[in-house]
Amino acid sequence: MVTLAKKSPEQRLNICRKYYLAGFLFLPFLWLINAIWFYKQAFKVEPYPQQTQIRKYVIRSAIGTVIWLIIIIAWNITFQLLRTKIGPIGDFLTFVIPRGYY
Amino acid sequence: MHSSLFCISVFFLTFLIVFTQSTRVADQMYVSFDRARYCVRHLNGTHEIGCQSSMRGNSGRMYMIDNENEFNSYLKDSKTIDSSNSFIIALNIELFNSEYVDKLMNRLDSKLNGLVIYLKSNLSRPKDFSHDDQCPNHRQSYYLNQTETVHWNPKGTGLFFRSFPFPIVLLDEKDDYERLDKFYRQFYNTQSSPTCGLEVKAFQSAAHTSKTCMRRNEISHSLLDAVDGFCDPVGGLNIYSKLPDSLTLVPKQRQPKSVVLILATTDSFQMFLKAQGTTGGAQQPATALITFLALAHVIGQEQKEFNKQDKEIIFVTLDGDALDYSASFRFLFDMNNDYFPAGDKNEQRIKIEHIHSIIEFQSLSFSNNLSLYAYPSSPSIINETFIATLLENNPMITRMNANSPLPPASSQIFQQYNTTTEFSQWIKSIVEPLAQTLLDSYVGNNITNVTIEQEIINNLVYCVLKNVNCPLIHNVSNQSIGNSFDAFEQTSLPFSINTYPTATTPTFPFVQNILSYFLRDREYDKQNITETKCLEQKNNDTLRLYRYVGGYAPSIMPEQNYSGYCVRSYLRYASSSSPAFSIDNYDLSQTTYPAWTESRWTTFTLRLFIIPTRTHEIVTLVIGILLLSISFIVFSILRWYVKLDLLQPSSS
Repeated sequence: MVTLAKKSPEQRLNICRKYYLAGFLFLPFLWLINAIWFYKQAFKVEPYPQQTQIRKYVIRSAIGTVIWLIIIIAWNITFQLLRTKIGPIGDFLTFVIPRGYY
Repeated sequence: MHSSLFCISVFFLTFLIVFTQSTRVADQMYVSFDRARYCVRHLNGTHEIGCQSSMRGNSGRMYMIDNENEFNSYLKDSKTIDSSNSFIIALNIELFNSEYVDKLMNRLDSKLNGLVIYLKSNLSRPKDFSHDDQCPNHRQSYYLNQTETVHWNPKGTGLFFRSFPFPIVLLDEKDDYERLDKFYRQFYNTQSSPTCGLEVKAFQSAAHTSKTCMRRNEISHSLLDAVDGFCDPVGGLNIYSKLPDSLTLVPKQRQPKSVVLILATTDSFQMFLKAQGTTGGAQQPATALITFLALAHVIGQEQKEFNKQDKEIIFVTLDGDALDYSASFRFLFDMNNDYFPAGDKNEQRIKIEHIHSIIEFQSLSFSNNLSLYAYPSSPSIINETFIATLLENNPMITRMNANSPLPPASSQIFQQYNTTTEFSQWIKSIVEPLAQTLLDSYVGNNITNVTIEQEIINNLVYCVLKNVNCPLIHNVSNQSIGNSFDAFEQTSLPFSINTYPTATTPTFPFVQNILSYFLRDREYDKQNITETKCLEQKNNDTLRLYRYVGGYAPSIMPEQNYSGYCVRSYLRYASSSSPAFSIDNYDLSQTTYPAWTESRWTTFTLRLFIIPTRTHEIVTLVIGILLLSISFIVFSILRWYVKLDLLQPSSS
C-alpha cells in the first residue's frame, strides 16, 4: 500500500500528475481516485511548495469526473429509451440480447 | 478416544444413508404433469402470436372452472379474486373460446397468470376443436379478387392468432385430469384453508417480429459460445416422386402441358404442442395422405400403361401450408427459379407452362358426399372430359359451381371413425375411380377396371393412424432408416407445424420411403440384385435412387420370392420454408411471402403445489428464525464454556 505521508513532496506531485495525465486516455476512474486520494493533500495539510500544483490537478480531475458522469448517465438513459426505436442499430449495440421480450 | 468416536459416527452415518429412502424435499412438494401440451409463440413479418411465461415460470393460486355456471359465479366472486395476487385458472375444454377467455382476461387483468385447459375424458372430446380463423389463411388468398369472406371454419375460435401475456397449457391425458381434480377437491374450501397452486414454465425466447428475431439469431458478441438462436423458420420438406421411367432428359425438350401434379399436405394446424412423445394436430390431413399414397400405389401398379404416354404424373407433398401457404409459395418459387425438380441437371426443369393440371387432396372427411372444386387458371381451359369421367366413375363426388369461393386448407374436427375397415373400404372407393379416371384420360384405351388390394390400404391406415412403427415401413425402407421408427412405437403419424432445421419427426422419412417404393420400377424387382451390387448402382445413375429393402409382399408380383429386393425409384425433396428466408436481403416485414417462425424454447413444466394459509407461513418463518438463533446461542455457549480441541479455530 502506498502511503502518501512516507513520500517526499516531489514524489507526491509526480504521482498526482501521472494520474491526472493518464485520465485523459478515457479513464475517468483515475480522475475520481485522484480527486479523492489527493483531496487531503491538496486542501487539508500544511502548505508546501508543491501543494498549489497538486491542488490544480485535484480540481481538474474532479471536474473531469463530473463531465464523464454526465456523459455516461446521458448515454445510459438514451440507450435504455431508444434501444427498440432506432431499428437494427439498437440490436447491434446491445451486448446481451434480451430473451422473450423486445 | 477421538478415533473411536470418529468411527462410531461414520458407522451411524453410513447406516442412515444406506438404509433410509433418500428423496429430495422438492419431490415431495410438487406434483408434476409431464404429458401436458403447451402453447408456443409464433412470429410473422409484423406480429407475434401465442403465449409466453416468465423465465422462472408463472405461478398462482389454482381455481377450477368446469361449466358456465361456475364461470359466472367466479367472475362475480370478488372475495376469492381479491384473496390472491395471481391465479392460474383450470378451464374445461368446452369453455375454451374467445368469449370466455376474453371475459376472464377482462375481469382478472394482470392477476391471470396462466390457463390450464383440461379434457375430462376421451369420451367427452369436444365435437369441434379448432383455433384457426373462421376463414383460414384469409391473409394470403391466392385468388385475390375473391371478395367475399366465407366462413369455412365456423367453429374456429381464432385463438391461435392472438397474443397472450401468460402461458396456456392443455391437459388431454385422462389421469392428468383426475389427479388435478383430486388435489383440488381435497384443498378447496374457504379462503382460510390451504389451497392448490400451479406453476407453469413455458418460456419463449423469440419476441416482436420474425424480422427482429432472425436478425438477433445472427448477432453474437461472445468469443466462446456458439450462436444460440431465438427462433426457427416454419417449414419442413417438400417431397416429390414419380415413375422412374418417365424422365425427360437433356437434350429432349419438355412439352408444354405435360406434367400432372398430385398434391397432399404433411403438416397441420396445431395450437398446443408436446415437448416429447406424440404431437399431432388435426387428423384430417391423414385421410388425404392415405388416399394420396394409395393412389401412388395404383399408378405404380399400372406403370406399364402410364409409361406409354408422355404425361409425367408427379406426386408432391407440401409441408408448411397451414400457415399462409408457405410451402406452396416455396414450391412455386423453386419452379420459377429452375429448382424443380432438384438435383441432376440432366433432367429438364419444369416450369409453369409445363403444368397440365393439379389434383389436390384436401379435407377429406369420412362421409358419403365429397365435393369437387375444379379451378382453371382461366375459365375456358377446364378439361371437361376429365371431370365428366371422374364424376361418372365416382358417384360420391358432386361438382361445385365454378363461381363458388375457393375452400382453404384446414377445417374442423378430430376424426371420429367407427372401424378402420369401414374407413379403409371408403378410401378404396375413392382411390379406384380416381385412378381409373386418370388412366382413361391420359392413357386412353379402355383398360379393364383398376383395383388396389384392400390389404395395402389397411396397412396404410394402420401405419398412419395407429402405429408408425409398422411392418409396412420396415419392409419398404432399408435397415438404418427402418430402425429410426422404433422411437415412435404405437404413435400415429404426427401432423404438426414443423420448423427448419427439421426436428426428429418421422413424417418425412415415412412419406419418402413409402411414396418412392410404391412408384418404384417394378420391372427392376425381377432382376434379383444383391445388396452390394445395389449399393453400387447409384454410382452409375445419378437420377434415380437405389436401396435394398425387405420387400412388401402385397405389392410384389406373386411369382417372385426373394428375401430382399433392390428398389429403383425416383425421389427428390427440397426445403419447404417460405422463400422469404432464402432470398438474400429480403425484408421480412414485407408481405410478398409469408414469414412465419416458431420461437425457441427449452423446458416445459407444469407443477402443482400447496399454498399454505397465512398463519402456517408465519409459524414456519418464526420457527425457522427461532431455530437459527437457538443454534447460534448454543454454539457460542459451547465455545465459551467447553474447551475441546475440535472447537478451537485453526490458527494456521
